[in-house]
Amino acid sequence: MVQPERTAETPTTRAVGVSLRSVSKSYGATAVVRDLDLEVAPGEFVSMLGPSGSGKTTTLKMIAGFEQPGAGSVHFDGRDVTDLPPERRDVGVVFQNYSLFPHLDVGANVAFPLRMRRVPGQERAERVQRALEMVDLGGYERRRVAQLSGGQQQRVAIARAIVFEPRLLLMDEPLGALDRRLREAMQLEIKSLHERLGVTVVYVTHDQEEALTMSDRVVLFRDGAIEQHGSPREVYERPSTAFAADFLGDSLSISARLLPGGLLEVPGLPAQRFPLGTGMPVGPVRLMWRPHAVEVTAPSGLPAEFSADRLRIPVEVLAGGYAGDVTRLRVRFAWGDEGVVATPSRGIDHRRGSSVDLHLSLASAVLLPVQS
Amino acid sequence: MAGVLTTLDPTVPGAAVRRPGHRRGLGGALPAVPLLVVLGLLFVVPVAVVVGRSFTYPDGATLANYRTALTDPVARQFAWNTVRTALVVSVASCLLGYTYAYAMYRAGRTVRVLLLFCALLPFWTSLLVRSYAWTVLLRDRGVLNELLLQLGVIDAPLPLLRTSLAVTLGMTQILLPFVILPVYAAMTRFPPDLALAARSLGASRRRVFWEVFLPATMPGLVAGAVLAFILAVGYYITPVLLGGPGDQPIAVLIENAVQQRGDWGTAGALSTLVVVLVLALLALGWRFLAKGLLGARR
Repeated sequence: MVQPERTAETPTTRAVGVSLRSVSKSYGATAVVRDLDLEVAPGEFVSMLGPSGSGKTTTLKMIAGFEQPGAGSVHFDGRDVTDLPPERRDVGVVFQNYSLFPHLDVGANVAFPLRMRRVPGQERAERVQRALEMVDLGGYERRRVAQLSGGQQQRVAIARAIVFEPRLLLMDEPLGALDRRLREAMQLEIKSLHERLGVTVVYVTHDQEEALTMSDRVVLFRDGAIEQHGSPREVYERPSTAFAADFLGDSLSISARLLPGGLLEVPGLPAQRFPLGTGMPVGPVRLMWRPHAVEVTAPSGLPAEFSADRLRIPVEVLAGGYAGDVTRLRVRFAWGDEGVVATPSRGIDHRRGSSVDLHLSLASAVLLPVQS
Repeated sequence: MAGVLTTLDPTVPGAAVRRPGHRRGLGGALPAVPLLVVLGLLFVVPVAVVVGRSFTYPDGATLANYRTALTDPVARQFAWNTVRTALVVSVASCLLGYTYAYAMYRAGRTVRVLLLFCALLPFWTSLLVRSYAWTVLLRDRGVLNELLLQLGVIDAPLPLLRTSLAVTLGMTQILLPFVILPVYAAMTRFPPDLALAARSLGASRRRVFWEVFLPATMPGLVAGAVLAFILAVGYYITPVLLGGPGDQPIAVLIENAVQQRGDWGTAGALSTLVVVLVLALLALGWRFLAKGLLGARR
């Protein structure tokens, strides 16, 4: 949670720290958020990631003040804002569908929050101009909203959400309606905007790549609770559960068993001493590797081998997908486990039914508990 | 009004949005052709005859009928009655209709369906019956006056019938659905996120209503106002039954010209002027009418 570096460009913004304490929310009998605790440091860029229905958007709405928690409290810089209406929270919100006011032109949309705050006309015009320039839409004041492309509309929405220098910026899948290329360009723009403004950002997405690219910290939601949180590298490379491993990207995992005496058994092979302390009880576990940690070679024709801390296992290719620099392979082990690996696109037969050897290092493996 | 009703199913969010796969362009309008033919025969032809007579009656090409229609002080008085009544009724319908539609919008499902039913009730009763019903309520020994007398609020019956008030009441009740329906349709198309966005930007609930909700639903209100005004300009039975001498509309004068004097020329000129006024209003309000009734094309 390191404060991002701030430039002298915009010295006035005060970032706020957010904390959710034991927050719950139900709609009827359905619990959407369960006893959630979350701390966001001032200036931090936090992504709330998760499948739809996992409670991330509801959590965002409670931070914005659009929804009241059923239990628990929301704090900004330690101050309880649970009962504060949204218009008094000083929070900028960007929605997926832009939510620009159709009856106002671009300038009037961006000026709206300043007008609500009774900022005088001259200053208002200047700030609107600055905000539009910041999102590369200088001179668009008089345009009608309907004349703009989706990407431009979203920039207007961002300008409108930052023009009043909010203490906190909430974004609810802001790039979800844009095509891939535009989305990637906007990701970098939002990131750089965050660095220039130094504002705290809470960003909701169901796109793991987006969350990993943009965030200081990723908070992974599942069924209304936090499954895991940490830096993008932490959550990607050291997921704590099979769900986290699956949701954050492609992976390859095999079933294994921890035996007494620090031994690890992989199906069909003699048990070996496991080099890492596990902190896990004896019994079934899963060993997980990210695609970049797996080496793929042409089939050697030899049987599987488990020596020292390396595994070599022949697998069957179920499907191969050429993706430019790499080819992604879906593979199956003799005992049934399946997974995805990536390999440089040269020299591998990736047709269905062909065979390759996988080289797996225990040092780069992640040990996951087996899910009940 | 069938087109309006299909956009108004309160159970289907965004019912006004076109279904995908619909044929576009002229080909898609084919099913409307029989109705257009009937409309052409029953509306355009008679109107053409009336307009034609206004320029030819009683003997050959003439503008005399228009000179009479435009200069005659009696015609001017009746025209003013018509426009004044239509304005008052439109404003009253807009105020009540918007409020009613907003209540429907905010209500739960059951109440909303009930309110919609009540709003549509006037459609299912004959115009004549409804207008007579008002006379029963408003006349000197009518329901309202009897009640007030009984309660001791008044000593003598209030002159309610044959007043502008009675005309306004009667016509507003009848025209209200024409405002409620397009306004409600516009409200159902209002994206709730817009209100949330405005709240987060610093607007209180009240300001969200005045600065975002009302402007965003304005096309529906303008559509309703144009409809109500146009319909009010052509009203006949209700002002005749409920109004005083100062409330008699142009339609009475036209009827009188034809029935009493057989003066098709003046009647035709007056009718043509009314049609022109209505068409001019439609031209002015068309953008809003189309948007209000069909929804913005995205």
